[in-house]
Amino acid sequence: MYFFIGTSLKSIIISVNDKDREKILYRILAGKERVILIDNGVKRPFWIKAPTITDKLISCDIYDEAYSEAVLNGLYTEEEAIAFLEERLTWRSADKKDLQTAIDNIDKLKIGLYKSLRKRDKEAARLGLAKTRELISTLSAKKFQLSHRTAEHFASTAKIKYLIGRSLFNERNKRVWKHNKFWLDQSELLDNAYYAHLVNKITETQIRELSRTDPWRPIWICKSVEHSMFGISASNLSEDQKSLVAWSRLYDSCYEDQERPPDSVIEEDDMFDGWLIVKRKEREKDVKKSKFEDAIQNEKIANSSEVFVMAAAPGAADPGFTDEELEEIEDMNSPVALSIKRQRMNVVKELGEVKEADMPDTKQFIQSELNKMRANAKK
Amino acid sequence: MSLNRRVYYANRVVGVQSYDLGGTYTAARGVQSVGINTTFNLEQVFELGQLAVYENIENVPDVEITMEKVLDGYPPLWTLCTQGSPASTLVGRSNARANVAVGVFPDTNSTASGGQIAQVICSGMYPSQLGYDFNVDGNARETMSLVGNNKLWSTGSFLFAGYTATNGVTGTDPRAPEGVNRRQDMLMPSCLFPTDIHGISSSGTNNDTGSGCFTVSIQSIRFSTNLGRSQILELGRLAPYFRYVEFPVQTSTTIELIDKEGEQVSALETGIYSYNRNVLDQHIKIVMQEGIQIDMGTKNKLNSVSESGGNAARGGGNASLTYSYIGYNDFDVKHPLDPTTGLRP
Repeated sequence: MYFFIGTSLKSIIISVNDKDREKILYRILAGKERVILIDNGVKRPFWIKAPTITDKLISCDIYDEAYSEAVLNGLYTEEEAIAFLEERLTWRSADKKDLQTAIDNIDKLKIGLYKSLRKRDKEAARLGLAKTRELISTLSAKKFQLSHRTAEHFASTAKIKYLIGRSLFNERNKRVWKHNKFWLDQSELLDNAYYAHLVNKITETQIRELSRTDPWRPIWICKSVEHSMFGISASNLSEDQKSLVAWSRLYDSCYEDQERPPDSVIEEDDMFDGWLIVKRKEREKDVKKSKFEDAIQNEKIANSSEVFVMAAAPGAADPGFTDEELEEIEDMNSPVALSIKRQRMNVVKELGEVKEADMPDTKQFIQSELNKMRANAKK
Repeated sequence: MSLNRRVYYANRVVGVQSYDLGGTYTAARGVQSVGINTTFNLEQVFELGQLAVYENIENVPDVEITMEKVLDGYPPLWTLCTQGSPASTLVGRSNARANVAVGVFPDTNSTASGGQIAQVICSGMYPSQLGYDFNVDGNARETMSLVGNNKLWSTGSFLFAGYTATNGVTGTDPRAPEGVNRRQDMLMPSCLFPTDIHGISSSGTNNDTGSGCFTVSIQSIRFSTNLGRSQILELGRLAPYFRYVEFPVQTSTTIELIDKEGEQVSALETGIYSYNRNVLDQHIKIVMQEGIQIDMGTKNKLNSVSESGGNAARGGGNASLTYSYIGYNDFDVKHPLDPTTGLRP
C-alpha cells in the first residue's frame, strides 16, 4: 500500500507496511502515544494521553489569558503582523492573489486528476498538484513569517503545552505534573514532550489509508455488533479517533454509492478528492436547480422550451444580478441546453437578426421530426 | 420539450408594446419568470411511385409566451398587453395585440440595465390565458399567456432598451408603497364574495367579526380564463389574418377557505330556491391595496364544493372547503396605472 506526499516536486512514495499501520491503529485505539523523552539527562518512556474535556476547557482560558498578556506586552496580532509585512512590501497584493489562485487551483487539479484518462495526463495533474502545493507552502511561509512572534502563536503554544503537560503520564501511569501552573515554569521535559507530540502527529494521509484498509477495516465493520468502538463517549474521543471515524464513514458511503469509483481512484487521495468534489458540485447544482424550479410555480413556464428566470427578488433595491445568481441560473442548464444556448448566441451575434426557424437547434429539430414522419409514413 | 434541452436564461427585462398603436416599449415590472414555447407545424407530401418525400411543408410556427408577475403597484401584464382597448372587460380587451421583448444577458454580466446581449421579440401576440392568484402564504400573482406566430432574435439596435426612464422605469422599488401585495393587502371591505359561502353577508361582504378574524377565513382565491384563440386563415396568405376568441369564454373562480361550520350548501331535486334553482347568480370582486380591481361579474354560479384536509390518519391539518364558480365573458380588470388611461378606475 502506498500514499503520496505532495509537498515535494517529486512524488515521494512511502510504503506503509502492515506493521506501521498496526502501530498507528493501536495508538489511535488506545487514545495515547508512547514517547521516549530525556528527563534530567536520562531517557525515559512516557505516555501522552488524550486530554480530558475539563483540560480542554481550562486550556481555552489559558489561551485567552496568554493572548491578553501577549497583546499587553506589545506582541503583534496575526492581522497586525500581516499588515506590517504589507507595509514593508514583504507581503504584496500580488502574493495574496497568487496564494488565493493556488488554493483555488488545488480543487481544479484534483478534478483534473480524477477525470484524466491517459496516464500522461494523470502524471501532469500530479506534478501540477505537487508544484501548486509547494507554491502554497512557499507563499504561506512568506505570509506567516512573523507568526512565531505573534500573540496568537504565544497563546496557542501556552495552550498546547498545558494540554500536553496535563496529558503526560510516567511509566507507572502517574501524572507528571500535579500542580496547576506547571506550564509557566521552564521545563526541558515539557518542551521535549511538546516537540515529540508535534513530530509524532499522525497525518491525514495516514488516517485516510488506515480507514480503508486492514487491520482497521474489519474492526470498523464489527461496529454494528459492538457499538462502543473506543469504549468512551463521543465527546471524549481524541482528534485522531474522530478523524478515523469520519474518514471511515466517508469511505463507507463511497463503497455504497451506486456510482462507486474504481479502487484505483479510492486508493489515491488526490484522485478520490477529485471524485468527491465532482459529486459535491453535482449535488450543489441539483439543489440550485430545484431551488429555481420550485420558484417557477407556473407549470406552463416551468415546462417551456425556453425559460427566462428573473434573478433578483421582487422589489429588490439592486436591479443587477450577482455573479452567484448568474452562475446559479447558468447551472440549471444541462450540457445539451448549454450547447444549444451557445450555438444560438453565436448565430444571433453573427447574423444580427435570426428567425426561430433558422436557429441551428431548431433546424436540427425540424429535420429530425421530418425524418420521424418519413419513417412513420413507410410503415 | 425534453428536460435535457430546456434552456434557462438569466433575465431581468421584459418590455411590452401595443402592436396596433406602436409607441415605446413599457418595461413590465415585478415579472418573475417567462417561458416561451415554439412549435413548428410540419407536413410531408409523398407521391405515388416515389419512396422519397415529395415535399416537406413547414406551416406557420406557433409561438406561446407565458409570463408571471407579482402585483406590486405597476400595471398588470394584462393591461400592458391590451393597450388601446375600448373597455376594461374581457370582450373589450379581447382584440388587442402586443409585442413582447425579452432581454438576454451574458453569463458574467452583473448589471441588468443596458447589458443585454440579445433580445427575443415576439410580435403580434394575442392574449390567450389569464390568471390571478391570491394566497395566504405568498405574493399576489398574475399569470398570462399570449399566442402568435412571430419570434425573432436580434443583437444590437434593440427595440426595447431595457430598464430606462424612456421605458417607464424611474425607480428600483415596487411602485406600491406597501410593496408587493400579499394576504394583508386584500381590501376586504371593498371585495364581494358569493353569498352561498356560509358566513358571507347577504350583500356579499366578508365582515370583520371584531374579534381578530373575518367571518370567513379565506385561504386562497384563483381567477382564470382561457380565451381559446382560433386561427382564421385565408387563401393567398400563410399566416392567419386573425385569431379570434371563441366566445362565450368560460371564466372560473376558486375560493378556498377554512372549514369552520361546514359548507352548508343544500341541494334538492326540486331546488332550494324558486323556479327549481339550487344556486343563484353571484357577484365576485376583488380589490387589492396596490390598486387592481378584478370583477368577475354578477353571473357566477357555484359549480362544485368540496371538502379536504383534516385527516386523522395523514398528518391532520385544517379542514378546508373549496368553492368553484364558473361564469361567462365577465373578467373585468382595472388598474390605476393602466396605460389606456380611459380604462382606469
